[in-house]
Amino acid sequence: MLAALLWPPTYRSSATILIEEQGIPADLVRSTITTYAWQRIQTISQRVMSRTNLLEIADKYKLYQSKRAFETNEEIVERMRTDIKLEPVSAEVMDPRTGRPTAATIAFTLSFDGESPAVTQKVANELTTLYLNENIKSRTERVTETYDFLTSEADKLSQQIAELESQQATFKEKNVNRLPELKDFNMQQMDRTETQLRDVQNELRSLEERKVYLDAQLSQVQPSGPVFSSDGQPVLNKEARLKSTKTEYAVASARYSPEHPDVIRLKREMEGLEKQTGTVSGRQEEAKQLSQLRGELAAAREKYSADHPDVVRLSRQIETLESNLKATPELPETSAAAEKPDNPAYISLKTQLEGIEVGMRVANAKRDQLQAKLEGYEKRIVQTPQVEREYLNLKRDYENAQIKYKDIKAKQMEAQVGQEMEKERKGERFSLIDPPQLPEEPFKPNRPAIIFLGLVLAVGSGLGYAAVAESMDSTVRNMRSVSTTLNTVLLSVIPYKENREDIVKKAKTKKMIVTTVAVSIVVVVILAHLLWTPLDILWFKGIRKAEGIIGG
Amino acid sequence: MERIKEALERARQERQHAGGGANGTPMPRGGVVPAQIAYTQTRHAEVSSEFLREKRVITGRDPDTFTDAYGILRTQVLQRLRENNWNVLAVTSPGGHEGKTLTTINLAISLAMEVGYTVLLVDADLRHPDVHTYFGLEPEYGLSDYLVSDKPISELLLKPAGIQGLVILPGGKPLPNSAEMLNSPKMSRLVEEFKTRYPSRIVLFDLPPLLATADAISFAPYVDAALLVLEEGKTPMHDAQRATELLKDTHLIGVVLNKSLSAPNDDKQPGWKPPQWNIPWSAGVGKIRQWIGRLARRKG
Repeated sequence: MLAALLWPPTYRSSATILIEEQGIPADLVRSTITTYAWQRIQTISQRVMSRTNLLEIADKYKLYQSKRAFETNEEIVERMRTDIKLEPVSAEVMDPRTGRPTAATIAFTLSFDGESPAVTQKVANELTTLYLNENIKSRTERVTETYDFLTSEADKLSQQIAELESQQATFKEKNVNRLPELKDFNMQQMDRTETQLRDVQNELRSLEERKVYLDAQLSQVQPSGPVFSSDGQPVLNKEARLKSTKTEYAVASARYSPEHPDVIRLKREMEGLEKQTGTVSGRQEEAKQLSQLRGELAAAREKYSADHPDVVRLSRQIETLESNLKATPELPETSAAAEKPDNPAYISLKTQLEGIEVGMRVANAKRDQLQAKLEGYEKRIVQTPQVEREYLNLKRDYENAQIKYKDIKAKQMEAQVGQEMEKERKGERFSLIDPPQLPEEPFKPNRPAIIFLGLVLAVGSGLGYAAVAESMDSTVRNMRSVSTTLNTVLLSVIPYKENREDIVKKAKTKKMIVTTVAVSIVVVVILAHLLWTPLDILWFKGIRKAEGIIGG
Repeated sequence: MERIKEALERARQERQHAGGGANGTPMPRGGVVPAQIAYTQTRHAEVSSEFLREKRVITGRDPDTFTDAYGILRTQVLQRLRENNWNVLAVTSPGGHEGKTLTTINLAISLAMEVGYTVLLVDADLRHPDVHTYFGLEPEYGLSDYLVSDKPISELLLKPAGIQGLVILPGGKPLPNSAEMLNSPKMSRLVEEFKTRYPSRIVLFDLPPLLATADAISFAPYVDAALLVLEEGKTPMHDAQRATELLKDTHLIGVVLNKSLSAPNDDKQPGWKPPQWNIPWSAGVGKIRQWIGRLARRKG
């Protein structure tokens, strides 16, 4: 009872804050903030109820003055946290995604319990402001952060794409002929080259055949055509003349002495012919003479002394010959025999042969060239798969990067719009619909309830005590139990006799009880009048209620 | 108080008057005793019946349940004594303040009212002798004087006026070694003498509490029988059990439940019974009432 009256009153001031959905439909503009409202409110709470914030408020409004002297800051903050109450106002909402009813937070109340109504209201006001500001701040921060993040991501990706592009370019440059795109072209080229090569080879073969044939023909044809003398006799050519001359000379020399004129003539003729055909050159003759002379000299030296005239003569001859040899330049042997073929068939064959040879040389060169080309193409084709793999890798990376970039770019754009929305305050926002009121009546304690509880508890504990005492009482009580437990006879039960003293005492007790009850009723009525509701009001209320009951 | 003074004065005068013939000739054994005994040797003490009533001592003049209860007790006791031919009865209780002295006195008075019996009430509670206070008497000497300084018994006896056939032997001065005194041969001899002196005399001994001192136990062998007084709602059951255990060698004729609230009280008219509702809690309510009453009494 005393507790009910002496308990210090606590006032509560509370504000209701509505969580308004974003003004623009979410289908059109999506906010980048997707967490649940209540979760966000909790996050904001944590920020608002930070130590520094709370202490600041406590200092500003001089809260808990009596406790500050001996309590640490921690305890003050803790006390304040318990005094600040945050309660969500939820509504049953159909979840559009799942189609199931869920509870969505549509508003929340923020209240503060304090000892003085005015201060309580001020603090509640301050807290409400903090919540609203914090919400805006956090939302803006959140949106900006998202946008900045996306922008930096996009930048990074574009850089990556540029890098990949340059990589691709260099790769293409390096493998310009081996690119998989050129594979077909290379194949075609190779095919064509192969065909060409085959053609060239065929040509070459036919040329060779013709050459063999021409060679065979040429060997049958004299380079010089038959010469007819004036008498219409065919003139032998020089070689034939030389041969016949030589044969004649051999016959003549066998028949005649060397000094024979025929022999000499023949010999002269033969030498002339030899010179003409170029079989013997002057130099050779001289070299032969020289070696002969040297042999003679060697023989003479053996036979004679050095001053011998033969030896001297021989030495002189050798010297002359040697100087002659030195003086006469070497003549090409062919030139000696250079004599233009004059047989037209021979010449035509020779020309044809020469043409074929040239053609063959050309075809050979072409073949070599074609083979080299073919090899080149083959190499390219073989290398293509390897290149292709690398190339595909590069391409894939590039494509991926591009997709990602596009994606990020789109998101970035969306985030930008969201940011604009937040800037324009068109997003989800908290609006204060019920500012903190000046509490007129203490919220706590509920005095009547405490009184009632106290009474119930008192009566209950009294009854309980009686019951316990009764059950614990082990004294002699029941007549039957006495005689049975003691196993003796209960002779008599003598009642308690009251004498005058007892009667007086009883009367006194009765009087005291009556007085106490009367006094306590009066006290309760007075207290009710002073602390709860004035009696006159209570009286009228009672009358109204009674009328209502009667009337109803 | 004036009357008490008067009574004392008269007692003193009587004592002087009795003089030397203290050791009166004992009555021959088995002698016929007249119904009306002239207490020539015993001092008469004036006792006001109003005073007795305040002390809850029955006077026999106001018939109520209280007196009736003693009547029942007397009848029961008498039956048992007669059956066994006993005439010495000790009254005790497990603890103190359970009403044993008052019970003894009232039983004595009740017995004395029975025609043909005389009663000698001996205050054997030598630690706190207080039988005389119930009669408003302040005797100079008592039993202790006999035991210590051989005062003649006849000088010690008192006869309260208005109560026929009751003689009181007060306790006298409190003795610290009461147990030894009660156990002495002198005491045993005295008891023997009381027992045999008058054939139709019943001797009641008011003994100290049984469990608190050794007095009662040491004295128990001298008496024929014993009566145990228990107070309702006060004497614990296990104390009562212990007491009966201790008295098992003595003939325990029974127990008396004293200060009972469950017994019908004299406030009620005879024949009228309180309406009994068959509601379970009515018993509980009765118990609460009892309990409250006891609490109030304890406070007093």
